[in-house]
Amino acid sequence: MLQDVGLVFSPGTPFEARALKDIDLEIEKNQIVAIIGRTGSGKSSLVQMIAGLQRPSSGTVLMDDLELYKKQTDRKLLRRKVGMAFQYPEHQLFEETVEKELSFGLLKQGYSQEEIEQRIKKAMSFTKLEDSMLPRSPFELSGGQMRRLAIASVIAMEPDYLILDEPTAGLDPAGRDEILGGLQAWQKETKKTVILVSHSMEDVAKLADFIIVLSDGQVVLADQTRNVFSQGELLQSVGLDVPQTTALMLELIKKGWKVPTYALTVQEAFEAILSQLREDSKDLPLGEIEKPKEVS
Amino acid sequence: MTNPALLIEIKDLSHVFQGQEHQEIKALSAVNLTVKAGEFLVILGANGSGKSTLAKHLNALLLPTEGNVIIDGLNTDDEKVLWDIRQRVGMVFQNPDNQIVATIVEDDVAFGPENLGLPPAIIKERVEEALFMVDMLEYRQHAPHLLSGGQKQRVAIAGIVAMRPKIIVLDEATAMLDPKGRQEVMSVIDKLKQEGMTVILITHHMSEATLADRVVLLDQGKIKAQGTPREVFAQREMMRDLGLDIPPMSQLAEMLKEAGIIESDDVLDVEDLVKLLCP
Ligand SMILES: Nc1ncnc2c1ncn2[C@@H]1O[C@H](COP(=O)(O)OP(=O)(O)OP(=O)(O)O)[C@@H](O)[C@H]1O
Ligand SMILES: Nc1ncnc2c1ncn2[C@@H]1O[C@H](COP(=O)(O)OP(=O)(O)O)[C@@H](O)[C@H]1O
Ligand SMILES: [Mg+2]
Ligand SMILES: [Mg+2]
Repeated sequence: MLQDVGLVFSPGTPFEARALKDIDLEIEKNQIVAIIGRTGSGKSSLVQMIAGLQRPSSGTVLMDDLELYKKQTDRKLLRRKVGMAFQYPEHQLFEETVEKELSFGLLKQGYSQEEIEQRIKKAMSFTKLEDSMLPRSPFELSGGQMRRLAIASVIAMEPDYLILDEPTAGLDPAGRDEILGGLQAWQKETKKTVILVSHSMEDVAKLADFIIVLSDGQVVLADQTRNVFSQGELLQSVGLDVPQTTALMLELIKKGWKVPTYALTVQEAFEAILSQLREDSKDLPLGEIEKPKEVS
Repeated sequence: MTNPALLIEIKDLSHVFQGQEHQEIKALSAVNLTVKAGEFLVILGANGSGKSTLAKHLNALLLPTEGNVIIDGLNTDDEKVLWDIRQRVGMVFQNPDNQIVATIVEDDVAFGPENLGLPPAIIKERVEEALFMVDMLEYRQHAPHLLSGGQKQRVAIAGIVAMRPKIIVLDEATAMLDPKGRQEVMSVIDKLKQEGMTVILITHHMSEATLADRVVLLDQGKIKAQGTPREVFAQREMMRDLGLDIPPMSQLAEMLKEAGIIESDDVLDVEDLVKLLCP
């Protein structure tokens, strides 16, 4: 929960940047929350703040009952609760080998060798990293492999709040689908909270239960996924896109089709088109499906 | 021998990395590829397939373990022409932080042209033009390290553009951009093309690949296929096998065709599909 939070970088200098303004947010547990917004809108600042890594200039941040930015806050408890994968994996990685990178946090938390090995194995299969990479240097991996490693090392910690800043940037499409699908399954199974930043409206539409839309450091919308994507115009006004399936619905409506104003997935769009065609063919002789007539 | 119409000639290129514990990692094997001046080439491939390794051979950041890379008639293994090659090939990488050198945006963009020894008036003009192209002119006085990821990418691209190289290689330079930012970069690429520049773009976004003159597919260090975007995306089985994507509208068109609603599934974007549904 964030109360009246603001964040100003370099106050009083010519470079003063108000990254976040008057943020009041309550994030429910046990769901996937997506944060969307243009570059510079404050997404990374917001998730870093939730992760306990960026002190706000004003306001308070509460996680469960823990007030994050107080002197007496139990940092160790916080580390156990929250895990974050950074926007740039190379800012997160620092160990000599992939294996050390994956075990670093687990060792700190004092898990047994056996438990550590098990968790690493699980995290690697989650992100499709091969065993042959264990002895390699994290900095000699390809961009996408580094991203997978950064995600694997936070997943291995199984935090209550898993925070991922642009986790799919640089992933190949199959990797993206595998990891997002895996995240969704993991969230369902563990009932933990996942907060992710994404530029892909397609991914967000498929995955998120709840969406926070940021623009210029402010929350312009925080609602269930469907409610957010039914407001295509508002999204466009803050420089965002709608998923292509929704864009298609809007185009078809312009042509006189009676389809819903949004479709979150390819399957939904397919069904919408099918049912409109069926609807239209009711008055026609059996077996004949005709395309809707154009109105202009 | 070398063909003057070809700006890039890659012959039997192999690259082997020595890993931390001396294991050998074969990143490229026997790659042959030529690029004509003015072409817009997109390279696709799964993570670790060798795209960045290939890109780094184009300006001699890496040298072949075997084979040759010839840029505008200059062989990258010839140390004497290193400077000439780097002047011809501008690179924009995934993470712009490693590319930023100055404390003010316009100085950062001016860094390259200054090194080319251009007169101040020309430098100023080029910097403005480049920043305008990437929609960052209003940030010219800002500190680059204080910008967010996507903004930095645009500054990095401007820095290369201002040097007017013959070839610009963008290695996932759009990965951190929002959809609008990506569109802006794609229109920058279009402008560069019109000015006769050769552009090589590495991306995981299939929508960007649809704009290319030619798409090259890398798989485990080898060229698996190449052709126009339509030719390549028509090979859906292969695309799926390689872990690549099919644009959502192509997927939908495939489903609609199977259901007998449309006759063709030659669709890349919303516009294509609307045309088929509302002829
Ligand atoms: N400096 C290096 N030392 C050792 N191995 C490396 C090095 N750089 C890359 N590799 C390995 O070479 C192979 C190809 O890497 P490359 O970076 O070219 O892939 P890529 O196609 O760009 O992948 P991505 O989509 O993830 O960016 C990978 O197996 C990678 O781990
Ligand atoms: N460390 C920093 N110092 C100063 N300004 C910053 C810093 N990090 C981000 N900013 C500024 O704060 C704003 C929000 O940035 P950020 O949270 O990174 O946005 P996003 O992740 O949405 O792209 C931007 O205007 C950016 O320039
Ligand atoms: Mg960010
Ligand atoms: Mg790469």
